[in-house]
Amino acid sequence: MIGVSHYLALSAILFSIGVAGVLTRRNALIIFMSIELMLNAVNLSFIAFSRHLGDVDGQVFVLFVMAVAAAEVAVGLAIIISIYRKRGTANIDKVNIMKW
Amino acid sequence: MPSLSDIQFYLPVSMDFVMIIPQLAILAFMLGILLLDLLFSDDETRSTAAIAVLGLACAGFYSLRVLWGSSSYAFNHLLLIDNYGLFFNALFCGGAILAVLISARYIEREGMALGEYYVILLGAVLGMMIMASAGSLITVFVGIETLSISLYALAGFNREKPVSGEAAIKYLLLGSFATGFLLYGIALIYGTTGSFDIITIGDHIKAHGGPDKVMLLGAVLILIGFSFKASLAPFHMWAPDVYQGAPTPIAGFMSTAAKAAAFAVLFRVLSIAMPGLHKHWHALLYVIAIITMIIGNLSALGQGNIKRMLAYSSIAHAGYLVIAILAAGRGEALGAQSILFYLIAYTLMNMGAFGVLSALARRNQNNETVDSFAGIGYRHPAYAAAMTLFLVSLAGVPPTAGFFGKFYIFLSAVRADMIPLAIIGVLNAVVSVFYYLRVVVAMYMQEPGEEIERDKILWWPAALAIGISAAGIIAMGLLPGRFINLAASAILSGI
Repeated sequence: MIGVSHYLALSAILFSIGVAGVLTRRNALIIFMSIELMLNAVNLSFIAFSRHLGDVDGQVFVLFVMAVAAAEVAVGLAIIISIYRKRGTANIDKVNIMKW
Repeated sequence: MPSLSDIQFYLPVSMDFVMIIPQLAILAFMLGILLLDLLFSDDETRSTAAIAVLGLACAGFYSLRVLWGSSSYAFNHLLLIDNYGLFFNALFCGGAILAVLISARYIEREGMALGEYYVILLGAVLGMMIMASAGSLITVFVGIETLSISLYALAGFNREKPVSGEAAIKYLLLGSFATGFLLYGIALIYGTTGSFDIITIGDHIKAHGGPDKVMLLGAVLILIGFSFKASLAPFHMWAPDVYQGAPTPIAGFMSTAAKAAAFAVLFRVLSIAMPGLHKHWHALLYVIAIITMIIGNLSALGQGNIKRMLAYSSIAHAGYLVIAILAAGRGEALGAQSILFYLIAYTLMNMGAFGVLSALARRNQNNETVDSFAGIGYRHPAYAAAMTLFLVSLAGVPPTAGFFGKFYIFLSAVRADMIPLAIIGVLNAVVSVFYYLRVVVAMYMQEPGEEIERDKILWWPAALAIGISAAGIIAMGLLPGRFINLAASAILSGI
């Protein structure tokens, strides 16, 4: 029987993979994808809790998260493209005019 | 699992919309400017700036004069409409008006005069207003993200300048990383308390006595998310790079109004949703306050770039504000009031300092450094006098707003029986005098270097913004009682 704890464990694992991706990868696009993975891992938690509690608010929140993530991607990709056009690379280690 | 017929639908009534007229006004002006911008010629941004100021003034006026005193809910507890939120509405509008006035000339000169600039700026203000009035973690999240996404775009607005893009991408990646933690925290709190409503969460935590581990983890993750937005150590690393690289008026706006918004939502969530966890967040924030002040002040000492120095100083000021939150958490009324007082003072003095910087520092010339300010006192006496006032106030010298801001915060810490924290704060304030006065010394006592080409004419909107900030600082320094009373009336009916 798959219960709420399985979903929460999966969500925690996905979130950790996302965090590891952000911390280890150097390409801005891949970092960004890892952040999206973190957000979607949280969405899974919301759905699992929502089902477990019998409360629809959690599902409503997921819609908000998806809308916000879409807006963030729109702005984020624009910024990454403008960086790429200026420097010919999306590697964040090369984006270092100022000290990190 | 409830069936669809069990779900209670909430239909908004007209009163809900009356309560959010300030937010609606900002939204209307935002969309209006976007449309009007099509009619104007490409480089005409002065009219858009004027319309933006009008919209901000309307929203601020409506919050302070018409809605002031109301204490109610809107949209099924999604928003709490009280003096606390309304006070912050007005503060954000004031900060944004200063930012628009400073920007008007700056964006033309730097070749980034596009009407969208003001649209996105108003979007940021809208997000802040939602944050300050948030009554549910849903609105907390939506507000924070509306603000953050607008700021990502504004930080990178100067596309021609590599540092601007660099600021934007650093802010974007670290900001959305922090959002992930904030969201996970919200999910865990939702899972353990069964609600997003901050009042319900507060009642639930109190009713169940000791918190469980999952709930604590959720609270810590939410605090990490907020700490990032408020640039508290050790989540402050983005701030110096972003403030240095972003367009100067935007850096000023981020370090004042956006920081005020972060503190507004942090204090509201802590005092309504988490009084049951007071013991835990008190210990955590106690440590954060100390390291934030120390890291901010010590790092600012060695900075040659004034924008970067002000970025570290803004980290240090965030540390002082955490002291006030801690005092308020212990039930000290002055603590809560001093947060609001300090945020008004800080908005005025930092916007003023960034205003002088954006008036004097030009693109592609390395003149944001302390050395390049040598001799400004003789070449631009008015700017130098204003800058001196702002820096002296930031350092906390009487009789300026900055002095009373720090005085109230440290007094509240002493009254709340946190004398060690007050002593560390005072010592930090003493250290900070050194790096602020270094700029003043450069302006008045060093031989001017080569004349750097600067604007010959005083552009009046920027001068007006600097004048308003200077007048406000002096007024707060001479009549601190009035402003602390205003802060008290904003707190009493609210939290």
